[in-house]
Amino acid sequence: MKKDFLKRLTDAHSWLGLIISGLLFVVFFAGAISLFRAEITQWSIQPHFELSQGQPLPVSQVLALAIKDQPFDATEHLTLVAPEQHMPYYRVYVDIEHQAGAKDHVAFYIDPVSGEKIAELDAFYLADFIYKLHLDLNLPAGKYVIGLVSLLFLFALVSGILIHARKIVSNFFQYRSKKVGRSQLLDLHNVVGVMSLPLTLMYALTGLIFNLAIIYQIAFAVVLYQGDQQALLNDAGFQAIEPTWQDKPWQDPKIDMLTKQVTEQYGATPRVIRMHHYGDDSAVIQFIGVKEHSLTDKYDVAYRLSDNDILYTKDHANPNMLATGLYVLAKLHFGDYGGFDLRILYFILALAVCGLIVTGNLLWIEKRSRLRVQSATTLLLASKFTLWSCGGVVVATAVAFVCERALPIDLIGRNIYMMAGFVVTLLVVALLITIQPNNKYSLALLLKLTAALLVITVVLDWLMFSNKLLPMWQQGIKTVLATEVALISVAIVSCYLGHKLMTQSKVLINADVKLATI
Amino acid sequence: MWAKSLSAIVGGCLVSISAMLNIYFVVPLAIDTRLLIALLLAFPLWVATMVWCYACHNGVQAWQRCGGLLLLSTAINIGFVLG
Repeated sequence: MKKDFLKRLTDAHSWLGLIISGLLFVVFFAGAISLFRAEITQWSIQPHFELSQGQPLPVSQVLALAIKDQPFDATEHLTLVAPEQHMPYYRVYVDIEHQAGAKDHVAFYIDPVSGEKIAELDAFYLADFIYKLHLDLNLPAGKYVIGLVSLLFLFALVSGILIHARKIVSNFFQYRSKKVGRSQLLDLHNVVGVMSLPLTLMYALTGLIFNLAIIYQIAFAVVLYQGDQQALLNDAGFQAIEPTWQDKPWQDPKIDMLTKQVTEQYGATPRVIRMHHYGDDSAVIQFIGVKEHSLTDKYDVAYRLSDNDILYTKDHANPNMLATGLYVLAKLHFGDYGGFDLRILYFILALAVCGLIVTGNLLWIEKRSRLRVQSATTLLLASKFTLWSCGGVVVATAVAFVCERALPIDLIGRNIYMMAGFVVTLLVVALLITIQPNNKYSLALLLKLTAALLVITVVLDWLMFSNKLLPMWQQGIKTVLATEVALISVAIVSCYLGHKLMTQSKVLINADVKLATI
Repeated sequence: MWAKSLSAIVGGCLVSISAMLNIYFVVPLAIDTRLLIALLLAFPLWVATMVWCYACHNGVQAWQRCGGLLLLSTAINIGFVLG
């Protein structure tokens, strides 16, 4: 490859890499934690509530309890997400009558045995907050921002491969640990980049498809379907269920019989049960289910409740290639087709990519400060930004964990306080790193602070629920204690790294002082 | 850099849309399969166009390359739509 070509590509790779680094770090860091979203949700909720023992209520009864005392809008939907391994409660979404622009649904947990409403979904928002940070940064148009970041990330990967192509095999095992500065950083960047390449390529491509496919959807609908989006969606396997409202009460709907029938037919209980026009003669029930640890097996069946006729079936016998393809991509992205060990592997690789992002930025700063092609202010800004967007997000996440545990569960707007804790921490960290001139020392402080916050979270757990944690373990609910072990492990690693960095930064400061004295 | 970025992102997007429409017309498979193939190929093609644009001397050359490719692909699109 020509030298000029590689030079231009290296420029684009490093500049675009720096521009997207902050958001990309947030996406990968939040994504790594979100791999354990179900476990974190259970850790949040379970100690607050006793688990009822006994036979679960039939689905029809849970549906009836879900709309009790709610301004339910029967012309819309009522959705149940069934209990699973790490979430022993139904998650219920009820569409309500509302003014234009107001909230259109309520969401809460229901105990499958007692039928009691446990809490609002938003009351335990930590896991969803981190997940949404990964999906769309919790911003209204964040999905498209993440889509653009994914595009530039895919470009950075492809350009990285081209830049590194000649040495990709010979330098694969090269890590010059004895060298200092640039060689070590470059080796780390290249080795992590190459080793995580299959995962990063998959993440970038799937991220793009999830966030920016709308561009092709619109183009295809306009050119091929004369603007009829629904016709395109039908071909893509996303049929809309739009029954005509009859304004006539339903007669003895066989909800439980159909649930049992679907469960027996597919050998897996439906994960999502969605009612359209609940209570009306036009009602339709939709079952969506997946086979655990399967990459492709999913079913989506809809029945008309007036005569129990099938409206449509999408399963392995009646597949839609696009819908199945997208489902497989989602499984690959979230790593939930394998067991817990696969998610651990995904977690490690995702954190390695966080390291890739940080080393990329450090290389940019180092190269430009050596060549003196950038002003000192730009370099300072780049280094502070790297520190803030990476270290700041880590500490803010730890604060969110403390808030999730410490805030009273009956506090109105509990989720808002938790999110405010996250944002305020980011602002405080920005202030701290502006005041402290030594970046290494700042990073060490942030890591030690993270460790302290995680330990505080676990201590709070034991102070608040000391009489519940061990009985839960004995009942087979191991997630809460396992999460504590994970938090303590991360705290130990953070503390160790913080201690090492602090020692190094003190050595550097002492050397500077001696130099100044001489 | 900014001109190259604009051609890479906007031009690359248009080229990939047009090329995917051509693939949709050409591939003799079921509609859902063609849509999946188009979706899977679209983004790598967009990024390939970006690489091509960033490898240019300047923004003008990037737009010339991108525009030429887009014109050719759009002409084929029109042929398929009308034909």
